[in-house]
Amino acid sequence: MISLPLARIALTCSALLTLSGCITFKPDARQPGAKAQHLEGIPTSESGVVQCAAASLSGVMTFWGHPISTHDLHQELPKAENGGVLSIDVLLAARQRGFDSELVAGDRTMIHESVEIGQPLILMLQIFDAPGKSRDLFHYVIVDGFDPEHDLVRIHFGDGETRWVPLQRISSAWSDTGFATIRVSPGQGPSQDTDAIRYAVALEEAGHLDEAEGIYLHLLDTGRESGLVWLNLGNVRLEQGLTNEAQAAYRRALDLEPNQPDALNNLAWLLLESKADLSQARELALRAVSLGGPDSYLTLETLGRIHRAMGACEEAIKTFETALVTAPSGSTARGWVLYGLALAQQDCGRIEAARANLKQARVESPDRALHKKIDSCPWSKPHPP
Amino acid sequence: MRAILPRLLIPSLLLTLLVVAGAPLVALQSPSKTEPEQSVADREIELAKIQAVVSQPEIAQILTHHGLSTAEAHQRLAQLSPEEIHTLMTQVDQIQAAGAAVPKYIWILLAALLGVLILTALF
Repeated sequence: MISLPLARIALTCSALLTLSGCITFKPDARQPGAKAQHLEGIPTSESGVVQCAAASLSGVMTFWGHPISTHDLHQELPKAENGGVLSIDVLLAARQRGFDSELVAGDRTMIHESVEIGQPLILMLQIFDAPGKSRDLFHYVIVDGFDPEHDLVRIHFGDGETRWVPLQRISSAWSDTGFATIRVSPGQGPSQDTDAIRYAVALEEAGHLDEAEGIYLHLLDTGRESGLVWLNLGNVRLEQGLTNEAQAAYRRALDLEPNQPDALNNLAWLLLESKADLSQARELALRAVSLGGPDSYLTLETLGRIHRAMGACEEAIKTFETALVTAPSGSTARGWVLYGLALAQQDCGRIEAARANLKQARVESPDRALHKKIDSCPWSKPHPP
Repeated sequence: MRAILPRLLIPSLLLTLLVVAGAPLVALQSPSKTEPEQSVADREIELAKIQAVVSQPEIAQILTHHGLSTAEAHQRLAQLSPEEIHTLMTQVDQIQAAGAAVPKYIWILLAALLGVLILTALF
């Protein structure tokens, strides 16, 4: 019989040992009932809290037939400021290895159904709730069994054992993470770049050019080069005022995809803007126009401006008029096409038609920059008698 | 007077012509797109899925609180689908870093507690 003081010492020592094993709480194991189900094939790990992200992911990947060492995974996983691994990074690490993964808010039903279909789950638990938010401690565990009769779950805590514990025993720690649950299953291979590119374009639209550039460069650095990425990077560089770099990016896009109308158009546009090589600009714009595409008025508008810059006002008028056929009515783009047409008409001495189109451009487009341009045309209104 | 007018008018007209001919050619490059061969209209639809996230960067800020740079935070988010990001916006508690080492102050507290318990047991 152990005395009470000795029991206290033993308890505290146990707590300390638990912490040294990086497990802050180990609920007492219960005996599962006859209806309990659990999955076989997840190796137990003694990785503790510090490597819990790697150990959990390694365990689940091993379950799916793709073993990877906890140590190697731990080395690879990016660490947050507190040394832990963000839930998002666990998710992305799985995807980078060709798995499907999702971060969801789990519940009892999800655990039950997952076990039934043979899908282990990774749960994130809050194991230490310090004052404030920054010192809280969190821990990933694997759940691979469920006992509906007694509401028990089988958990890998990372201490080299599995144990059945009441779901209620962990529900508070789980709820503190928004019931964060990571589902990992065999997938179709590395994720597509569509999401990343969409996100970067949205950043561009919001004016966050450096962040957008970072994403494009990351895609390029990780071997996901494409004409589209280079086109978009060129646009960012252009917005940043880096015209030489923009030109290089468009040229690289065309190296990869010689018939990309957008890169052809933008390179032509850039050469026109810099007045560097109008012949090459025209050649590129003609190629872009010949390829068609969903918004042919963009390439036609560029070609029209090039014709005009080369003194071919009649060609420019024809080109702008063709662009007007497809330019959406009421759009900013249509306003600019009308403006280009007016300038070309003025070049050819058709001043009345030019004035009418300037007026129409103002009506079509609310773009203030365009209105400013129109106002700066000294011939936009007839001189008073 | 008649002689002066043409002298002023001609340079003015020339200047006007130069200004008009040299007017910067603003506007219609092809915008960045989310997919190859995408129309501008489809582009707007795609961007609408994610625009709210980018214009309300709370999630990116949460990630920066975990020590990521703004660029790193956006790189993470860029790999999630719009639906996932919208879900995260409503469940920010799920963005935590698990696996941090136990802070030193906890060891100190536990050592102090252990000391007190030993003293209590002995005396």
